[in-house]
Amino acid sequence: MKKESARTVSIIGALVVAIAPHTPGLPLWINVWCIVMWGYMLVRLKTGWPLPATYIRYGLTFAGIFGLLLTYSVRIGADAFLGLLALMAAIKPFEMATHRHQMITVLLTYFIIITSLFRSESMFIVLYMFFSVLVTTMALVQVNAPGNLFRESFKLAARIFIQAFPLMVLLFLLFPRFPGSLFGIEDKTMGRTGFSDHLSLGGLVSLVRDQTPAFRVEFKGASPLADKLYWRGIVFQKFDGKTWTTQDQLAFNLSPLSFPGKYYNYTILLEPHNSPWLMALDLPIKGPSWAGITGEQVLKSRRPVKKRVRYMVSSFARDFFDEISLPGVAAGGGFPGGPSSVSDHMPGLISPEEMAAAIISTAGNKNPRARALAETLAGKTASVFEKIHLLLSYFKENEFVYSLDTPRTTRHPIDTFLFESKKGYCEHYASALGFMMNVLGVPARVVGGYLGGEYNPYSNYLTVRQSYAHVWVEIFDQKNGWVRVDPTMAVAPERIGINPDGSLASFSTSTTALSFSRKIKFALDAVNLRWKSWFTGYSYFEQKAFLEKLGLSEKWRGFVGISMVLAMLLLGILTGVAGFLFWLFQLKKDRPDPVEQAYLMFCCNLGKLGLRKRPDQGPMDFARDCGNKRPDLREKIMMITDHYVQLRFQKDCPETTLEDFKTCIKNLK
Amino acid sequence: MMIKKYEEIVNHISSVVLGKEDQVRLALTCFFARGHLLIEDFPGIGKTTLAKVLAKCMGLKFQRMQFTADLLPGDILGMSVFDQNTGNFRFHAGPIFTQVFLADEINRATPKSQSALLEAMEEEQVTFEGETRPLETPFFVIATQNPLEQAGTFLLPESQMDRFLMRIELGYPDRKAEKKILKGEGADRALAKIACCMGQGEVISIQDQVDRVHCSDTFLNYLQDLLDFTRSSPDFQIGLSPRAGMALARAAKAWAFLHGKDYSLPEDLQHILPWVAGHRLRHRQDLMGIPRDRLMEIFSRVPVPI
Repeated sequence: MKKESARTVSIIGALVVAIAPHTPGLPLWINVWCIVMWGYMLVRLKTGWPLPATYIRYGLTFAGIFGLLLTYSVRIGADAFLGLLALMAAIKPFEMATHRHQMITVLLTYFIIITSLFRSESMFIVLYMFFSVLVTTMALVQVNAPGNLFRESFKLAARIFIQAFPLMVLLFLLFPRFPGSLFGIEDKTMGRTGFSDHLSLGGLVSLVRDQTPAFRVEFKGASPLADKLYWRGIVFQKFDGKTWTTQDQLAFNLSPLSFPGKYYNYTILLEPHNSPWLMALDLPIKGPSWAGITGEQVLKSRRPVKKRVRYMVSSFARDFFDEISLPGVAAGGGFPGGPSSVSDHMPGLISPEEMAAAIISTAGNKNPRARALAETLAGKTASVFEKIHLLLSYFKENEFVYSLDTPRTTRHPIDTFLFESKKGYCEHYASALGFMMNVLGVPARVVGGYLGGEYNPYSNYLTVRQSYAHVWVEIFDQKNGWVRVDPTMAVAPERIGINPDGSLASFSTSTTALSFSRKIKFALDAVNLRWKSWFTGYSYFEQKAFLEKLGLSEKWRGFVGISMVLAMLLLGILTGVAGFLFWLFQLKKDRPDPVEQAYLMFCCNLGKLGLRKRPDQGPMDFARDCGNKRPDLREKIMMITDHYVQLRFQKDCPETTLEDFKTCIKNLK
Repeated sequence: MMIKKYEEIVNHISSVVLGKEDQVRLALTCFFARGHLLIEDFPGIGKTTLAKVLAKCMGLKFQRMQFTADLLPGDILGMSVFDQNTGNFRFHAGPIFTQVFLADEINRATPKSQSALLEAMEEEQVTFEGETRPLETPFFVIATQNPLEQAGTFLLPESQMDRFLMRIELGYPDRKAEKKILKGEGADRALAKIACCMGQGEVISIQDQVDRVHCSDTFLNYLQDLLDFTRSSPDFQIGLSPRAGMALARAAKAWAFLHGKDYSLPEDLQHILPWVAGHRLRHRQDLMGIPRDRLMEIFSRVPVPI
């Protein structure tokens, strides 16, 4: 009983530890269900309550499945699957009487541990999984070597664990990985946030309130100034009066010219967001091999980003623009396009006026007041920069306010913004400026991305959060190409160098000014990032790079892969054969002795009559006892016992005795 | 057939040693198992009578010797005496050259004398001045020891206790038996009336048959379980030796044979267990012998294999 209870406690303990990471994601009733079932099993160790009868167990199983159907209905996904696993793990301890069931339960526990990765891949969960594996291995030791002290089981489990460690590292590094996901399974829970391919006024608010990291950046060499951290994502080149959308290849094919400026090399670790846009510092020059730079100078992956990716980018930032001395026009971005006229280089291409008209062609007669305002304000000047200046001054002089609290969109959203509410955030200013510039015949496009970044002094990287999402405008100038203009800065210059959450976007390595909680936050984030880039991010490409570093070429890699698979296969076969032999051996060993079985049945039958055999009682003494208590059965009992003694203790006994013995026992019934 | 004979002997002896039937049966078991018997009790209980009547019943030679502190090994084994007629030393056999030897109050003798006797018991031969002389068969030693008187005694060490197959206590007779003793003629007179019911040849043949009693695997498993138990149980200071295991098996076989079986059962073992194991085990805590009922209680924790 003591061994039994130690075993039950260790198995239930392992189950609790394994399920724990799932509890926040499971419905409340499943959590309660688990607590009740396991609690009952633990309490009955003390009180000796009975195990639930078979029909109750069946009832519980069906009730559980029914509840699951009610909770998830047809949404059969990972969550429903985990719920089922938890339900079954909760009632499994009711049938753990035999070794086989105990082993099944332990294996189930190992499986549950793996499913923790459905919830999170963070370092903390993986460390927890190691702990969980240790606890489960202890349960495994308890099942197979009962009566061990807790400390001894722990020692053995720890030893097994440590022995498995090098193998684990080896398999992690060398087990063949495939580009893309295995079996085409993609995790739908990952990567929901981010920009979509259209932008309407007021659409960014949800993003602005989201504090999760969008990506992290690590600069190699020089890092740019804090006010130049414009991370380009999507370029919207089409406006229908309400919504900006992307449009393919409506661009000038400009030849790059040499401008004074700086190159920046950096690595980005991008969280999945389900679209192909890759963030890069204004302006990307060179990206990873699996991505291209579009005509709008945007880095774009061939497939939507559904897993965390890591890539290196080189960007170029121009130092200054010609003829620019305007407040609010951010010098530093811009397109390295040629100053010479477009038609010189690219005959047959459309003029800037035609392009501006094309951008707002679908806007129709929307926002008439804004059109009129643009004409009145800047219709007379020819200079592009003068026009920009006049429009931005309008925002300033008319007491426009930066605010996230904006009215609902109307039929003419820009009119509403310019003449009624006079408050808005980056989207509104960018949309209004972009629209009006196009009305004036100057091509202007809206760019979605992020601004700023929180510098982590412990690990020298920037974290860019979803809330740093920003929208600005790029305006085409014959001399300078596309020039970045951020109208929000004209209204809210305090945003420069300060992230929306109040953190500074500076590259200060000093940690003294940081509060304690911030230090902890930075340190944890730094550790977790290392973890992400080295462990969960270790995929096909990283493995390839690693093997190449070891001097193993692609050919070798294939060879290693094949030999690994073969070795695993061989190991599997050997294990199978060994298991089969062991099973045969065990079968032989465990085949119950017929005499013993028959005699046990005899004792059991007498036990039902109230004649119990003490364990230390010999067969003859027992028979005599029984005979005294039940004189009517004396003869039969004596005969059976005689047969038993003959079979067990006498020197030679005829072969028929066993059959007689069995018949006698049957007759006793 | 054997049972009849056995009961006859038991009745014979019990008519002299009154009210001690159980002890008589154990003594006979010990005798037929070729073991030696240690009787631990107070004087005047009937130890000597038991030994005498046993010898007479079996038709065996009997010698009694009172052990004292000044007893020398030569007094037991014998010595060489110069023969004036022949001019040679002639071996003068000691009292040990007999078939039933009663060593009265063995703990009074010095360890040297004790060990001389015990050596003879183990090897069934006496080596004196380089010459080895076999003892007679059957050779049966009954030693008595007074458990109370400690002054001037030499307690038998464990290793020597081990030489005795069994240790029994006689104890006071019950009221009924005692009245019979008080009423009746003296033991000597009763002894004289006892007829010999067995000869030396018959005794040896029975002893041989006891050796041939079958011990099945199940029986031996039980025996081994018991031995293992004494070795691992925290109750005992030291477990039973393989020699003790052999003694248990022999005694159980003899018990089984005397009860008409040619195989031994766990019950046989259980019957003789406290008498064979009792003087070989010591309790871990109080360093004293273990009371018999306590011993049986401890052993009842070992289940009989099925």
